[in-house]
Amino acid sequence: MNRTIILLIILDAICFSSCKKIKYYDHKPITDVQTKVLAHKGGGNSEYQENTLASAQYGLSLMDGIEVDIQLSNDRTLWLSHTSILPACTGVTADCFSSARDFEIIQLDSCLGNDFTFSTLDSVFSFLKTYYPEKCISIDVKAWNPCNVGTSDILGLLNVIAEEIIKLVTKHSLQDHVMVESETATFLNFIKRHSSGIGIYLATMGDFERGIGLALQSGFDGISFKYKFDEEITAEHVEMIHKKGLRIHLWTVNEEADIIEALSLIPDFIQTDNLDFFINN
Amino acid sequence: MNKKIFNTVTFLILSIGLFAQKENNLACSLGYGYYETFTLGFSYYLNPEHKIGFAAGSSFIFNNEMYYSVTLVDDIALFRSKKDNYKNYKWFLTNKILYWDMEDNYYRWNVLSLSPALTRNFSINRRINLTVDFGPLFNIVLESYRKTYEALGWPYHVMPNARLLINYRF
Repeated sequence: MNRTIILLIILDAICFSSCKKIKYYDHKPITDVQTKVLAHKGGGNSEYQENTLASAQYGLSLMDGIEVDIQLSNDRTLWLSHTSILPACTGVTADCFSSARDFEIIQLDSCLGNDFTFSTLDSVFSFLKTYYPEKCISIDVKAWNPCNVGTSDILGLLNVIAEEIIKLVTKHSLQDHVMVESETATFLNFIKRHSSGIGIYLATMGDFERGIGLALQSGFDGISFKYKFDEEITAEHVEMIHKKGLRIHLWTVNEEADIIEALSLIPDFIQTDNLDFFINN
Repeated sequence: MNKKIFNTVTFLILSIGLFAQKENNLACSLGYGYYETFTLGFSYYLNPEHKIGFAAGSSFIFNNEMYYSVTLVDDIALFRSKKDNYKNYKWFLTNKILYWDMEDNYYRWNVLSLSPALTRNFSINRRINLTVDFGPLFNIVLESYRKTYEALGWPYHVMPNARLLINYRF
């Protein structure tokens, strides 16, 4: 018995002396930060419908890049849209991206006339590669509410979205120009495991500490932080993020005073709807 | 605030131990655990095979860290013997719920931890025994407060935990 006790005490001592309760991350400083401004939702405004090829062309012509939202169709095509619900039109039954075939979405596009249009991510990548190969695009992928029982496998669908993004990035050789942002770490991990050269950002609704903790643990490139939503972000926060080798998106910064303040923090990316501010300044 | 809670809990534990009237059902424990740190507690034997316990711990001030813990424990005897002899209860399945509060130069953390552990009991005599337990500990961060911007960290989600206790059964 004495031997067992001594052995257990030694094991205890080894455990106590070798472990730390908190994991502190090493410094991997990023020093060359130049803030890039991305046109939110592709740069849509009253003239250009948001999340379309037309708005993307407009946004890319003015800014350092664009941010777009995407949805997956039943034919595994990535379409630009903020919502998974399709608008209604007489004679077209498709009501949800994940259950709609591509021909139905095209039918709906025709049915809605000039008021509404749908564009594919493929067409936007093609435009980016041809006309602005030095610019970048950030793809916001949301874990949406399923439209019906058939689309309730959200993680499964997110993995298909990840596969399709990787295919398109490879097809257009857009490595180092495409970023994905999502609140769903499973989706981001899938991209990380199956590709290289795609920037991976964990979207966070203002919980800074948790966001950077998860990003560091998972080896993501940074966080996409909702500006002035829940927690304030300061220059010290941004400096610390850069010290740890992470990058940060701030979204969506629209008011003039907020843009000036956000620029002073020197984040890596600012997403904005207010393109006029940057045109006029 | 936490120091007050710790002092109150310690006082209660000592009081219950000193004034316990029901013979042999109450025990007090003293020891050290990696997450519990220096810990003092008591346990109540519902029957020879099952006891519940409560303990408070602190590492006081060590390496500029202030640390407190409060633990709820449920021990169930494994490999039960037919003979009701204290020496026959050697192995226990220990379920712990642990709350810990840690403050260092960079952060203050409030964490809730859950830990199933395997406990080996060594009886010295009828009243005194030594217990060692090992098991994984799953951490859930309840709150974190940043004090400086010098470092960036997060508690490990899962860590091994071990505890060594001397128990005295009244």
